[in-house]
Amino acid sequence: MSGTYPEAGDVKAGDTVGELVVTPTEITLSRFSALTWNPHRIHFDTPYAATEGYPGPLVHAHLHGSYLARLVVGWAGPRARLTRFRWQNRQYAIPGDELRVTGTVTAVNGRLVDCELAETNQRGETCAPGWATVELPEKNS
Amino acid sequence: MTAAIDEAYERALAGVGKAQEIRIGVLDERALQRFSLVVGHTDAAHQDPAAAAELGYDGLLAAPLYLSAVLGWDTGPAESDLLADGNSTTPLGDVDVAGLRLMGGGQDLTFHEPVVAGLDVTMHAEVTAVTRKEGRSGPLLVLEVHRRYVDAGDGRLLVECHESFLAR
Repeated sequence: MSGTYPEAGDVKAGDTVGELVVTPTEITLSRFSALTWNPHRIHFDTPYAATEGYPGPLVHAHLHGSYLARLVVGWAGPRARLTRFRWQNRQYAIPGDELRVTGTVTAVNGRLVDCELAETNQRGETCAPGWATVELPEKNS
Repeated sequence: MTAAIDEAYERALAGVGKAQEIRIGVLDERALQRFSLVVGHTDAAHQDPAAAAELGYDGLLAAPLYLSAVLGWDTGPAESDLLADGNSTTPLGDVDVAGLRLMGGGQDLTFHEPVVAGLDVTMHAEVTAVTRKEGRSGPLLVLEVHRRYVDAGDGRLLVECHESFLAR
């Protein structure tokens, strides 16, 4: 380990990559819509979201993905490199939902570490599963 | 609903395979910082150019999803030209999905080179497939989009993204 971050050889399959808990708000969604130039009302307009049958504006697909990526990037540290990342959107979330992001190392191949990730809500439903590969720095480099 | 989906399917099929080249331009440091802040990358490499330089990067590091999360890179249509739900009539370039509710299904990203502030980037985008499916709540379309983000100067591949959208 270098400080609190793993280096090549430090991790093995089954290790946890930590946990992240986020509760997006209407402000989060509004800012994310603006930053991504996304005018879809489903993400910021509660009365409009109700017309589509939702209890609130929806957390953006790419915000779910960003939370998953944040967990693994934060765990691997600034000298690691994310080489592959994918996720799927399974269940919607709205402001106030408590989203818990967790991950586990599934395979290690030299400096490359595969991780399985999941974002679940306060009801235990999986909102977004994810998978990542990070390249860890050499030991003592 | 079925007829509307069938019509949209035919329209969308006509746009499959048409490649688009979109100039993103030079990545702005402040825009990268803001995106990172909102999604929670508050570490030095994503917020402090000097810290990023110490780590060996040529500029402030972008959050992994920065390029692939931005929906539009051009000025975009006037508000009067948007659909009632706020969407553009052509959020997927030449593929016409106007009138359908579009939801992101997820992405598969490969990162070839670090994406940093100051890079001049071009995006190559193409809808590669449209499939009609029967979902639990009725018919839907699944659209597959392939994007390549390259250095506008030397053509180096930076990020590759496969994304799926569900249209109902």
